[in-house]
Amino acid sequence: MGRYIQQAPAVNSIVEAIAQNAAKAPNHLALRIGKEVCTYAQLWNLIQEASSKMLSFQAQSIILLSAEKALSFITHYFAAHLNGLICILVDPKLSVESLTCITNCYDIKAFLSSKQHIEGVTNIHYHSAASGEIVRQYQFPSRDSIADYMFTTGTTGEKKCVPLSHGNILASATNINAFIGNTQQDHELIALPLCHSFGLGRIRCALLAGGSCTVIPNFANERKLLSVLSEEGITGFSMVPAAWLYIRHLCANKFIAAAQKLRFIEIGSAPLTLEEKQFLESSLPHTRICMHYGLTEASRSAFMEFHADAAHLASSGKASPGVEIAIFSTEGKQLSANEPGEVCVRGAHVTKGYLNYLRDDYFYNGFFRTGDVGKIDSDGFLYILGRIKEQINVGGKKVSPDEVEQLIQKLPGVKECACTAAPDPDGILGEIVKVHIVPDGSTALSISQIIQFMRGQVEPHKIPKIVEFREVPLPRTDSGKLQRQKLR
Amino acid sequence: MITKSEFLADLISALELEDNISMDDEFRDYDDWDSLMFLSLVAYLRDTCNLNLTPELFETVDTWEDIYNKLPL
Repeated sequence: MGRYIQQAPAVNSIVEAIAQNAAKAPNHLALRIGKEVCTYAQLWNLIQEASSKMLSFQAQSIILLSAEKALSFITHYFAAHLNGLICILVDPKLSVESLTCITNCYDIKAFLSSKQHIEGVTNIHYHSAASGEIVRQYQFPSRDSIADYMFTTGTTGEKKCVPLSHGNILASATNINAFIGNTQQDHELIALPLCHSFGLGRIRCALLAGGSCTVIPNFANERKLLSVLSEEGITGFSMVPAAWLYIRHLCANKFIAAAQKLRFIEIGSAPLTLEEKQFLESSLPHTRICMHYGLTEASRSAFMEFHADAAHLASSGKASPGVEIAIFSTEGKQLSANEPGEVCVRGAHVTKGYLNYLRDDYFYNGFFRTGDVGKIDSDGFLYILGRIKEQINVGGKKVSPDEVEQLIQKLPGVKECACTAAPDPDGILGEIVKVHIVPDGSTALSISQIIQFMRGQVEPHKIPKIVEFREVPLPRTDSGKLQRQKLR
Repeated sequence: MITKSEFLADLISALELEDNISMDDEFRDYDDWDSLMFLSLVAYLRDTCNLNLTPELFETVDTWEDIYNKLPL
């Protein structure tokens, strides 16, 4: 703490900040997504119009939104917040089965999408005509009211629901902006998916600061990426390490040439090797390259800047502005510098606890337990040493081993199944999904059969790239608990 | 040599594409074109078609037809 000046925001939510920015600078560009372009005044009007479609829902009702890269998604998301609704964002690629699973677990009042429908739920099409009228005076949400339900990829087989309040989201965006220093003059290129907190988080940060965003479909169309990056006025960019490795593989020199004018780049969601950090640091001498450490429950808890922290590139940086990080023992005792233990985080950005779980199980003295093992050196730099959790990180997208195992276990012929991470042989995604299967001998199993079985039931990044058949049983503890670590 | 229809069928399977793709499609414009799909394409071309999709080669292709025309005879 204390490295950066942080001003307390004068608003209680991002949607209130948008309204305020629309009043201050109505003609300033807010968003450009494909052919859709809007100023702050237009964005605020669209949000108010979209909110009229949701007036029948009571405050704190839960709605499901398909996080499509379209202006209509952004406007409906903030319109829902304006109406005091709780949003669950889903990957537009999520199967109807997975969507139905969510609607079975939560009291979903509506599903907003331009493509899919769910039986038995009120479906609102993003592009259906809005009233065009502003029908009431709005009361902006309070900091304590819940804005979003996010989901963690745990290892217990059940995804935990993380309620994030408007105060959590606002604090997170304020902390990030304080570190990165982005302002109304910045124009950021966003290629990240909006169903993940990093991508949508970047939009929130820009809209809080009154800056501009250009959103493109993905990183993979490297021509489009380079073309937009080279445009006059783009000053910011954000990427996950897998995207950088993809860019480096295909067009490193062109990217570095185009990125010279960038004022900042934010990187996060997965580790980046020291060599890659040094390469970026030396290749982009005038760009603030900010890498974060965080999690859904406590977004961007630590930050480092590659040039300022060049002597500590192997670390995960220091606590973000407004955030405290401490290391605790398994007994819940706060540890001293350089002592390894569980990384714990405290601040206004941290969720108050999981839905339907006891708060005390996940907090030590007000510090949220991240499940990561680490230490803080005497200069305050955080080093992540490992994970208590066993989740797999495929290019920044998290995979729960249990989810994969439980699905494969349904396949006839499978006696036992374990899912672990394996290094991506192409070196781009970081980790890939590997499954270890003990057949029961009742029927022949093939890799293609397993992949075919999983398609449509889970997102593509959860489908294993490596399948290993074993004759010997999977390693287990005396109590029968699977020992995945022994398979890695 | 693999036929164009076999090539498209393989791509649909290997890349998990919708089954209405055509040889003229500019694959980079697909909504769900991503690095995972790129890696699946690299693996498919390497393992099944004996083609190494290098960055230099990738830069020269726009459509499935372009890639098909690079396949070794």
